[in-house]
Amino acid sequence: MKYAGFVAAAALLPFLLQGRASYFISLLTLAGVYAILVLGLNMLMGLAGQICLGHAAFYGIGAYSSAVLAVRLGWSPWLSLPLAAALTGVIAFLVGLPILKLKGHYLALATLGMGIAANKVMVAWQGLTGGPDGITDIPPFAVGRFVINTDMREYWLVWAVVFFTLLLGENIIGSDMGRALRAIKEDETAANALGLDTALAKTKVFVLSAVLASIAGVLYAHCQGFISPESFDFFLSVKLVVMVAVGGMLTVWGALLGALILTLLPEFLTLAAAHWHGVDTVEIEIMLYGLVLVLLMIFAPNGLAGKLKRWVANFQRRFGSVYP
Amino acid sequence: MSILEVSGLRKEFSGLIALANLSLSIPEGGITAVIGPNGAGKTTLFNVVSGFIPATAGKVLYRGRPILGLKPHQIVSLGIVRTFQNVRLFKDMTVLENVMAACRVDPQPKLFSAALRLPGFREKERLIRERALKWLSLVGLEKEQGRRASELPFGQQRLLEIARAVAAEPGLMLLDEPAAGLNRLELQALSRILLRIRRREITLVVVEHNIDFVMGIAERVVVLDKGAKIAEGTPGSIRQHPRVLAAYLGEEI
Repeated sequence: MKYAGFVAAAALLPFLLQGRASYFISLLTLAGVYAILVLGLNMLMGLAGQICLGHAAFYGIGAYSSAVLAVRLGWSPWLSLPLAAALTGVIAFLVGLPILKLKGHYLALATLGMGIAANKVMVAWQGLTGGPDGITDIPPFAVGRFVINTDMREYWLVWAVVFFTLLLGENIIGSDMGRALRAIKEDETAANALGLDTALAKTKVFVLSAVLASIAGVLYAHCQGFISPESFDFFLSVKLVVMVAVGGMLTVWGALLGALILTLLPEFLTLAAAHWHGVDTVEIEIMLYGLVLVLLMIFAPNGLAGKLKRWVANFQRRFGSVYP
Repeated sequence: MSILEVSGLRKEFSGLIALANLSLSIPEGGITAVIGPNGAGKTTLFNVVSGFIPATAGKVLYRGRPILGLKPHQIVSLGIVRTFQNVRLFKDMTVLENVMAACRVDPQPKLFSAALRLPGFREKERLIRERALKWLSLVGLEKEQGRRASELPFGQQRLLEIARAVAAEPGLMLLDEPAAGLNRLELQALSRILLRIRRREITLVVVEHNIDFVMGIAERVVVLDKGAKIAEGTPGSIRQHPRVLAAYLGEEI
């Protein structure tokens, strides 16, 4: 039922926008890419309670490795996608093993360092990554002669992947693995004392969320056709954490909501701001994220999804169920 | 045959001796109480045996198998499970989910098969739920299964923690002060439940300050003082033991 609603909404939205600027469609495609990132990060942060302030690194590693394989070696994106995902998975495993022993602030700092280091590599390893100029002319996905190079086609591709990521997330939440991760979030020592290999479980979910981020990166690279280090910087990592927090940590729908709101809202605001002269739109975006985060922590520390749920519950208590 | 054999166990915390070459053996079956004044090393013993802190020296055998150096989850999978002095529930999870989190069908949860709902998933969930309900009814909490763990009154939280530990299907259960903070009615319920667990052929070791409580249910008592064993015997003999009386000087046993 929920899924049918999701598919219907995703299918109808572009038609409502049809005729209007393709800008909105590509914005929604970008929101989809972020949704994949946020759904993955949500499994790590929301479920298992492990913060990652460097998630843009995995997103970037996915994008760059696929782009390098496709541009320099002429691989089909369908082949470079699994390889990029596998490579990112291996890197995440090697990084996660030591880093996940840390807790709280220390984990935040370590992942922050990881993200910044990865970004520096993208800038500095010019021979491979093209340095600050990035990589251009990345070939699009194609099925036979059907090339995914229009805004609409990219939208479908990305949101199909969002849909599968959503299913993946729901499956995990409702499984023994999901319970194990929630147990780790609530009391890692107690979970360990009940026979759960907490280090292993954390590493598994870290690798999964990194692999999902890399898939988002691959999609981004082959839809945009161009990547540069700026798209994978520290600010994106922070943005993703804010999106997870905005949506609320325990449901996939919250993650989706967070990704949508925080991709679309700043765009509309910057559009509005562009009418005023001398306003730097990037600065506005950063200010907005700060503001949203502060307001959120004050008024809805459990995220919008949790808040909405409570509003509905209060409403029902006062006025009877909204559903007959 | 003894289920747990501790010999020459030593634990120092930067010079402070918590366990001083402690040797004791726990026979299979029944309830053994470990008592002793504050700082006697009771909780340290549990922490070392359950793998949470490393020992300085010594040996611990579980069913003849050395377990020092193993990780906590490995020790649980061998068959030793422990509870904590301060109740440590998964507060935002439901009562049932708390117990389900301890029920293991696979040795460790599998991420891949969970994400893709590979065949057998439903059957596994059903099995876990069924087992969890069985353990909940063992402690009489099946009616509370849908409530959040943090909503339970303290006495029931204790029972839930015990149900969760039993759900790990241990051969040996280490209970750290299960009676602390309970009223008289709750104590009676706890005694009944511990005896019920004992009948399932689970060996129980209970660290306790409430002497009357343990004397009522334990068939053996081990007395620790300053990290070493000073007496061992039936509850009746312990009450008269001169070294125990000296260690507890001024306290009524």
